[in-house]
Amino acid sequence: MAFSKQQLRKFADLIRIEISDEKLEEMNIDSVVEWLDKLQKIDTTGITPMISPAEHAAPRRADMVTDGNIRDAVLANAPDKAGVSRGYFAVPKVMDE
Amino acid sequence: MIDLTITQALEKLKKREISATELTRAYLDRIEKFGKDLNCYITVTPERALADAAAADARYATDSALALDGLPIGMKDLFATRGIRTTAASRMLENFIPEYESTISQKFIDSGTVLLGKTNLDEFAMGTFSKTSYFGAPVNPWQMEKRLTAGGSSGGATSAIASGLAIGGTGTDTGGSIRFPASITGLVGMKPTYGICSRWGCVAFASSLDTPGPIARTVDDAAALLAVMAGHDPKESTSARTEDINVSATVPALVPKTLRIGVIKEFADVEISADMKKAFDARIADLKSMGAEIVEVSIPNILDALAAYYIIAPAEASSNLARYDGMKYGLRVDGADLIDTYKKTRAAGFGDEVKRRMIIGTAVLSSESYDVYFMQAARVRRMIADSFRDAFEKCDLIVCPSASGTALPLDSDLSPLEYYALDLFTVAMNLAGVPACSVPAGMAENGLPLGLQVVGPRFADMRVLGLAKLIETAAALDNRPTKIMGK
Repeated sequence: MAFSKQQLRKFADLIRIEISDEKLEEMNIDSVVEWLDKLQKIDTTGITPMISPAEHAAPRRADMVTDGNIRDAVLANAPDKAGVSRGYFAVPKVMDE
Repeated sequence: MIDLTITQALEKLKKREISATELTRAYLDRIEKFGKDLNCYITVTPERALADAAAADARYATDSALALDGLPIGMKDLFATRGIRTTAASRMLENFIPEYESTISQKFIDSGTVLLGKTNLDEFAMGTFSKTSYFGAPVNPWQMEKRLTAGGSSGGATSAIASGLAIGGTGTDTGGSIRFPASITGLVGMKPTYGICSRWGCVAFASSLDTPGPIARTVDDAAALLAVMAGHDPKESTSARTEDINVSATVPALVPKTLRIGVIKEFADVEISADMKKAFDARIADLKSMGAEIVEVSIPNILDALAAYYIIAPAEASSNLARYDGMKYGLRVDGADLIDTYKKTRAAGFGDEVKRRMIIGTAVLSSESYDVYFMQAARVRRMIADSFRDAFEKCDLIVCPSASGTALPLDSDLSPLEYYALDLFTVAMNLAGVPACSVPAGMAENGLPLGLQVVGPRFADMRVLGLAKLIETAAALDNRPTKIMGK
């Protein structure tokens, strides 16, 4: 199945990437998807999908706090330094007044 | 000193014939001389290296040396290193300085290695030529004037190790990113069984495929590194259980007469260079003359592995890379409002190949195509993994090419699909999670190295290295850095 230009634009939008129509065109995504279509021909009736090679049961750990009190380390790479000086992440305004 | 292998250097360090500081200085000098032209390091850490070396020398002086004490290594710039910039070769993380240490890099610290720096790679490990790096592509030291690719995505590591700018190092292999670059630089590159080397603190690309592993000049050296890297990690939910992991620094001496070696029927029809065909036939003939039995095995859907991979890997990448939103770390480009800031940040922070894969990943996961693409690919993945399991009932190990030929020029003008096709011989092993090692297997007429892969059942990592060693010995390829570089 092919994706329309509008669909590809919607996907780029969903993953929050600003991209021009020309650039999107240049990416040749259609040719890749067309090639992926060859998988449709394979009969996979009754086959259980494999999501990971690690199929052993993931071990559970005790429900205990293993770290904490590392505020400064968490903030160390924050892009907005003004917020960091007050101990917060500063982000663009989310709500209208 | 630069031509010493890990095994040889450890011997000399133990006997105090050389010091870790001397060895480290020799590498730092060489990085100073050739590092810029090869572009194999994104960040060089000379002060850290000399401090590590001094600590190693102090341990040698008190007879308390660690497993890899004083060996100068390069760490792929995908592993988080505390206090040292970790970029994933992306503008998004250009100035990211981790506050924590990845499990793998911590294990190297605990074994006494000297960190020379962070090696170059494709952006977020997505590529086969290391050309998608924000910092430019590393160069293959073989016939350097021709500016050939050192492969990708671990191309900085292979460029550095083949040129004598590191004695060994780490890579990660999601679809061939250790094995392909190793094969075209005359090195040994091991993708271990999925789960035996922890992904914790390694920048995520496709989590069900990403596999850290060693790159070195000999099979013995690769085993020495793998022995340090492997182990259960309680911090990682897909980490293998301790009782399943079977790794040691000593490569087992396999008895060829007892071996059944599988050759994959479906690969016979794939077009490979005449040189690769010759090398493959020669090494199979060697094994046969040593007494090994050669059997044909079938992995019926192995040629569909590439398409399944290019659905699964982008799907996982599009989810993993959602975290780069410019809020808590990494690049931020201010926009009119929050959504606009996200969009401008991600447009500026990611390169074209990363964007292409994220859009494809989002497309194959969209509600209308989830079953048609993603789940179908996951079913094909199961069929391939099952076929490998069945094949290993007929043989002990499989041998196949690592690539179709030798290194191509960096300025090759290939379409996305032509680049993806370079992974043809390697992706199936990631889908199945089985161990595979690329080992130097011969030289082409053009004077460039060729690599073959040894593939084994899950957790048979040491058996894989055992056969790789037999092939390495038979091929006897000279990969001394001073010979490759001519200086």
